[in-house]
Amino acid sequence: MKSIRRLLALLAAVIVLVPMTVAYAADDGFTSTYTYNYDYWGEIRESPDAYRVDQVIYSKTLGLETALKSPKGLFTKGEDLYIVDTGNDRIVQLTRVGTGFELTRIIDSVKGKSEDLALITARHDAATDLLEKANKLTSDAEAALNAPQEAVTAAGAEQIAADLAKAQATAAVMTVADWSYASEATKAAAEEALSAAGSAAEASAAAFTQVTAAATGSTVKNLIGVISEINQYGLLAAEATTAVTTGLVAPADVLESADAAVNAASRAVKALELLPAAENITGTAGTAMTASADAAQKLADAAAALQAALEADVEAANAAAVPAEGEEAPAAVTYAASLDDAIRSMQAVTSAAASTAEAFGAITDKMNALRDDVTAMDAATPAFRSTASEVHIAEVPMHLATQWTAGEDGCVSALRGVTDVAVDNEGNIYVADKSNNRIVKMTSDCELLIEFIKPTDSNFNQNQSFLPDKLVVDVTGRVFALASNVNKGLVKFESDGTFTGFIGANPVTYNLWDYIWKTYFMTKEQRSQQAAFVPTEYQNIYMDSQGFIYATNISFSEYDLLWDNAKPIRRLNAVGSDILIKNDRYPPIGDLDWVEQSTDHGPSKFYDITVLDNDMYVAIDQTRGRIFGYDPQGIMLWSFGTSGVPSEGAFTRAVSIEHMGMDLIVLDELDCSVTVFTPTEYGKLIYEASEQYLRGDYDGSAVTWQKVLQHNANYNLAFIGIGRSKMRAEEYKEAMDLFKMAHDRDNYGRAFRYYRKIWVEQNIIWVVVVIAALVLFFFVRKTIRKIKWEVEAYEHNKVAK
Amino acid sequence: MPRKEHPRLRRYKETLLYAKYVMFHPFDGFWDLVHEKRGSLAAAHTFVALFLLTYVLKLMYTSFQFITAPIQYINIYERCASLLLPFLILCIANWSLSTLFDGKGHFKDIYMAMGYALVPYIIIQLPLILVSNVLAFDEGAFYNVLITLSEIWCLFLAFVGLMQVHDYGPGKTLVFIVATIFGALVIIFLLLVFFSLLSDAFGYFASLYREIVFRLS
Repeated sequence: MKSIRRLLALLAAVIVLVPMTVAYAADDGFTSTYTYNYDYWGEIRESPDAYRVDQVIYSKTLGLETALKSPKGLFTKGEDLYIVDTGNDRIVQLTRVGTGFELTRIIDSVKGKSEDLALITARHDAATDLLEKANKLTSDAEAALNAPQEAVTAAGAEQIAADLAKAQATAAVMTVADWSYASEATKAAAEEALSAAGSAAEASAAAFTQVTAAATGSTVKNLIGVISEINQYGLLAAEATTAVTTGLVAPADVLESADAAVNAASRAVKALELLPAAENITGTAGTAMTASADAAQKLADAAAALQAALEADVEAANAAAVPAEGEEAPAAVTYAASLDDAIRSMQAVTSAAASTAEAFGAITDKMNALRDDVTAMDAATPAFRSTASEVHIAEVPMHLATQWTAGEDGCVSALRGVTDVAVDNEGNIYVADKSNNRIVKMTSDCELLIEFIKPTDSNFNQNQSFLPDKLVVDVTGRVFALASNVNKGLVKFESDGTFTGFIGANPVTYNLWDYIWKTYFMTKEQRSQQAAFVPTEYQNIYMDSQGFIYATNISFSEYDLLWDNAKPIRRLNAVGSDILIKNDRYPPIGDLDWVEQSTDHGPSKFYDITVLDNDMYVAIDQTRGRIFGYDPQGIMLWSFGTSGVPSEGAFTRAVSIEHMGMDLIVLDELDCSVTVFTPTEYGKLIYEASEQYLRGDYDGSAVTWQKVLQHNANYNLAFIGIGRSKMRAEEYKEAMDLFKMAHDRDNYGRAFRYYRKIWVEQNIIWVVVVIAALVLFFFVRKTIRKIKWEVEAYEHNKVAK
Repeated sequence: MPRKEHPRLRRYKETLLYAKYVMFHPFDGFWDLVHEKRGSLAAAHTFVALFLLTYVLKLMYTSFQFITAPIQYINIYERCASLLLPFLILCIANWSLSTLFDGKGHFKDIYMAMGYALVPYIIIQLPLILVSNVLAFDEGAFYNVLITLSEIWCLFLAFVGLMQVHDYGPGKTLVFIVATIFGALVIIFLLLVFFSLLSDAFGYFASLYREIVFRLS
């Protein structure tokens, strides 16, 4: 008995433990990605994982020398994966090889056509040369402007006048000197000195008059006027050439700027004709100064001779007679002293005159330099003009000459601040080159085909730069760009680069109360401080296989979200209207409830969206790092993901999601990693069943949905799918039960109609019988009452009688 | 055989059947209800109870195509209270304001009139529960029209009832109804304040008690 009990216990243990171990062994061994779904009442229901982490790719695993730095986008085409490495201004291309990814190449620049190189460099060099000359012209003209003024200051006219007056006074004193005791030689020297002094005085006076006249005369005024005009034209030429050099003009405008520079140069040349006047001034003033200097020198010589003679006399006199004590020295010595003074004054005048002559000489130098500059500029302008016109005729699309540099085999332009990439069916690569204000279309060998630049159309605000953030390309090569600070919608370019307008602007929504309050109750000042009612920009875009653009929007208020006015996901058609199908109880807004006052609070903000080949769309929410999958009817398939360490299927800051087949690829900006998710059996079954159902193969989808129900017994879509197939098989009651479980009113109504019809057909007899019985019952009752009333009335009458 | 019916039961049945007359002849009906005493308070209680019952049955048994009623989240008491309390508060507010407007109705009369005004809702919605189970989703218009009809009929009867009970003209009745709604809001506000103060008071005494207990022990 005991052994049997023991045996039974052992059996029970085995029966309990073995399935557990089997279940454990059957576990795929991957970490859960916390998949869940929302039921009809908006409650979260956990479900099996639809996706699992296949691999996480880091810069190290790829063997990149420079690690990825704040990558902002992804793009997949076939087996190629492109990572937009914004921090390093490059695009990294990976290819899927087997189960892993290998680095194929790095795109960081665009090669230009070699024949354009010569034109570009020639224009650039000619413009730089002209610019240098114009700048030199301007600086020299400025110096020349100041020259006359400097000359006049150097002249120190007042000082000269003072010295001259002093010299003249001394000369006058000398004439009344008593030369009685002087020797003959001294007397002769004295007379010579006197006459020299007189002529020097005259010459100085004349020179002084001429210098002052020259310095203040109208000629100098004209000269100054001419120089300042030359200065102005020089500045104009410099401006025009600067613009051309820095490349901020379109090819057609290059010619205009060149003409402006050329005209400025030719005007400067004309102004040169007035320069000879300067030489006149210099000549006249110079001559006068030279004459005065000569006279002063003569005076100095004579004075020196007189001095020598006087000294000889004094010596002789002193040797001859020794004055008595207390007597004065002979008067000759005093004369010598005052003569000395006079000589010194003359010398001062002489040196002043010399420096004035120098200063006036400098004017000539500067004028000559100016003439040389203007001639040089005039010579350089034809070359510049011809290069500019060549460029204009060639219509080279490289408008920004500074972005192109000469490489070994042609000109090369580096990409800066890339934000997005796309590849079309022919292998052409489109790169949104944000810091260079353009979208570049290049061949798969990185040769430039077209540059899409800021439209010159007046519809595009010309005060703004063109800053393309995201782009999509359709099959014909048309480019739709999402540009920063543009709220008129997506910028649309034709395949040849022409701008053809905006599509898909967010419709402006405001409520009636806001409008009334703002229009009637706010003062003008308050209104001017308020933000205008402007539509907001999209966050990201994706084009599906049929050419519709899915756009996500992250700027909305929570209130709008709850009333389905903010549409975080839109599907735009060619006209820009939203044609997303939303057949579920809740629209596709991601999470249906969010906890306030937590770190990840707030509604889901979709930073990117991708559309699989079976028209299911998957969007990634950055608030909580969740990925949401929806079917084409807008019903949520599953949702998984969380914030955290990327190696476990979580994200720190997810910015982009792409798909490759059925695999999902997510880019994490902060962690600089790429996570690849592959669907589990459950996920694959859901796709298969949905595809069959949407194709119309209800019976096939029913089989697959049964398998799905084995994984997740609460899956609404499965009930609907199986219900439809049961309807086709005319099992209406079962179909109705299934639809009731899924809360699908539409389909339940359809099944119910069939069921009701059949039920009535089967039970019509009973229905008719019941109705007839009721009618009969009431009729009989009425008749009985009437009879009763009549009998009572008769009896009453009988009694009364 | 002479029928020995209890006179009160007979009167009760009469007042119940009088509701039919009131439904189709409101002006006359309500007037006689009050002044000829052809209505009774018992009947009014019955109608209010049936009204709540109809609502609960509607929630439970209407086909899911026409109603979104998550049974697992519904609290019957809460729902019934959400119907009954506004009804009563409106009656009280009505009675309170009738002095301002020179009304001639007593509270009993007002309550009776409102009770009888609920009859179309019961009469129409109770069979409609069964009908909804036989209709398909596309034929829902039929169902919705009847629901709306029953509600509008009830409102109309309420309006006429008030008019006749207080002996007003129609315009004055409209003003009176608006005033009643305001009055009801005031009552609700006072109740809220009262309950909030009550809970604060309780909290105060409770904390006082706790504090004393802690001190002693």
